Amino acid sequence: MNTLAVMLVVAPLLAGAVIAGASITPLGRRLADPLGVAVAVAVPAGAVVLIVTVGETTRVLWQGGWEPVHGQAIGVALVVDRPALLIVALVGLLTAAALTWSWHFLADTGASYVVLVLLFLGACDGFVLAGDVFDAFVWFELMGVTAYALTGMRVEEPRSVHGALSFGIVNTVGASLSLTGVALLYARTGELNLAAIGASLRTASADHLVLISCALLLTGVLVKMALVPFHFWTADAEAVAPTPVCVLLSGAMITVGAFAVARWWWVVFDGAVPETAIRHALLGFGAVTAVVGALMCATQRHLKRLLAYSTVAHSGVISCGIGLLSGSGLAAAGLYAVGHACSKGALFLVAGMLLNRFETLDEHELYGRGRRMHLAGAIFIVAGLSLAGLPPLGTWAGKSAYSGALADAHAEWLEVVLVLVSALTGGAVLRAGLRIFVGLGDVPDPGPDTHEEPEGDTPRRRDGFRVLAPPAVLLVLAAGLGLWPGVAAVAQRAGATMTDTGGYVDAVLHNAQVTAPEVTVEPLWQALSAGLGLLAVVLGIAFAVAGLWPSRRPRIVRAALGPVRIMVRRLHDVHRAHVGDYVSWVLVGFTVLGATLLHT
Amino acid sequence: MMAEVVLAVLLAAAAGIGTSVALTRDPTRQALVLSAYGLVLGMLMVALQAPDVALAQIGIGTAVVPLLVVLTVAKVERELSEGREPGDFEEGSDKGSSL
Amino acid sequence: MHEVLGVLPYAVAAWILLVGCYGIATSRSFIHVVVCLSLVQSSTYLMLLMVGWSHHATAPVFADVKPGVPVVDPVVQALTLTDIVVGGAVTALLLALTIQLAKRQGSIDPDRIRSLEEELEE
Repeated sequence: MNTLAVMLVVAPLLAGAVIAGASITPLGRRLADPLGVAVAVAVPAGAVVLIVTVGETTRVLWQGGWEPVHGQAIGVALVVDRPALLIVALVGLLTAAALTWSWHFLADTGASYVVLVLLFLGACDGFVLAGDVFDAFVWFELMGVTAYALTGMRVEEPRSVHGALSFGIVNTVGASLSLTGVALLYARTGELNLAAIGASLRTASADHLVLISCALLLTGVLVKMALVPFHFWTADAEAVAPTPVCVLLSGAMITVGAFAVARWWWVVFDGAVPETAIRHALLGFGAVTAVVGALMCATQRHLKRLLAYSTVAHSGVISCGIGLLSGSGLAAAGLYAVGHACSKGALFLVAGMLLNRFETLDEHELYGRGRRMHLAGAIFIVAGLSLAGLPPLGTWAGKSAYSGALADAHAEWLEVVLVLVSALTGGAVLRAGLRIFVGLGDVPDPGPDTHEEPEGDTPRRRDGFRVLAPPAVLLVLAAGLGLWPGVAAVAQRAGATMTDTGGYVDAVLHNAQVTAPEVTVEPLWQALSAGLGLLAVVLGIAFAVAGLWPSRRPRIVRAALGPVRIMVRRLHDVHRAHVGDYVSWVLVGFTVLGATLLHT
Repeated sequence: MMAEVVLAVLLAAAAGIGTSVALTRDPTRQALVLSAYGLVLGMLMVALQAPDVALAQIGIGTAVVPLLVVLTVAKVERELSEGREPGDFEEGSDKGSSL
Repeated sequence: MHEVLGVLPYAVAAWILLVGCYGIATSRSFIHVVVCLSLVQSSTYLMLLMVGWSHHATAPVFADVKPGVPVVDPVVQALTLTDIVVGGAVTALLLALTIQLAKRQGSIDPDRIRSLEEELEE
């Protein structure tokens, strides 16, 4: 059992090394795809086995047998509990989908593409399971470096290289801030183990040093989570990265970042840093991110940029869920993240099919050209509805859980944000889907040349099983989320585990047998949440229709759109910046975060 | 007391040379300043009783990274002089359409 | 240290971090950006080592140190070493990307390369 847990991290890294070594021979290169997919499937399978066998307990694996003595931990621990395993399963699943989709893909890069994807998977798993802050940091850097390299993989594409550079630079600045935070925490507590740092911080009330190190530590992760104003790299990277990498960046990295925020808050800072401070910070950043992301998403023509900004918007919603600082809020955020990752993955993969077939991702240019791609079109449009949260699809399960959590936290105003995000991001996807795959709407102005090179070496003219199956499977999972009756219980129990600070500390430092606290499960299917889900979808369809037939918009709609359009134009201007501005925005964001923590 | 004075001087030197790294705009010259900065940092690390870290820093920060920078500059200049004219990708069309 | 040097070490680390960010923000060349980025990273080396330093303590090399002699914290030194290596790897990767950028875009000036944010709005 313990070996299996360690293998979640080691197997992808080992397989990556084997593939890299074997790829010097032609036979070895042919092994890369099957071996990569096999490991990527084995990781979520192993995680599911562990979810069943570990049950609701928290297992701590001390590497090399350096167990803590009298609560003093100097060893390196992997902390295996159900929330972490669920995230590992999700990341593994997305990786498996991505690698299956990209079979024989980018073969001219040798096997390095598969190797990097496996390293990314191993780094994500290590980061999620790491029990001490420096190991977490090393995994975090590995995750970053592999992601930059994967984004810039298609070196012959100028935009791809540019996006990877922006991504790398902004994230490295964020990582440096995080590491400074680690140094300050170590200075204060003399500990690197998360539980030990937390236990030490809780013995005194937080002074400015602790608050600043909290802000520093969070900044690096918020960059990965793409919260406004740390988000500028996101669209640049996800618009140009190879499609499977987009799936990983938008589905896995955001979710892993969110998990880290939650884990670090409850294990390290809860009880030392005032709750209101972090609540204001996460809710504030989250709500702004959700609105900005949704507006930017709704006004994009480039399909991958559109999806990237929708990722930003949904990441904002996830941040709000953590900011509720309750087990039910976390459960909602987790469900939402899974629904989002699966729907978004399916959407990116279909977008990649369009790119490889028509060599453009411009929504206007693609008008009506997907009419004969029935299956792909159906997947795209259903995934759009799933993103909008049509009950019971995709993000709806999360939104339904949000309803209860928001009521508990007296933050019902966030329902407005949720509906807005669903309507705008889902509506934008529906608009694109109906335009491309059904050919609805006014004939759009094609504009200037929007040609892009296809991603594969040999562009596939026919979409085989391997290309259609991964998005279909992701979509089925997204749909199944709200239909599976046990899902609410699993999520809420996992949320309760995450918020059980004492349990985590006891399990890690005192080798205690800790079981997740019992929770009273609120069912997902309630009239309010189903109604709000439907409302969001109706608004989304209305938005899509308004976008499809600009010539037939009633006068009142045009008048109402006027001021919004001016605001959105300003927003676009802000986003039309270069990497120096992105870094300045990171510092601005850090300052705001620090000020929020210091002044509440 | 001596140790503190040495440390303070080295810290001040690191801050000063670090500033000139950021303010040196010409990448080749910047590589040289970076190398000097790496050396000061290495000395600072020795003063901080971290000789092995200082070794790594002098190897990577003083030798490898500046060398990489110089090689990059050479390669980039060759690309820019023989490649297409800068400007091929710059023209920005202001064709933003309606919402 | 703290009674003599005060906040000087932390101020120097913060200064280097900020000046590196300033360099990135005002940069006209991606090579310059990457070098400034390595400056930003180097601020963390200082920060870590300062945290572990202690007056009258010697280097944590136990070959010729008798037990009981105070040494500076070896943990932060290990962290710094890791950090230097990671930093070097990131710098190398970003420089390689910069060369590709020069090859494909014909410029490495962040101001002259067209922003990736599409001019085209829906």
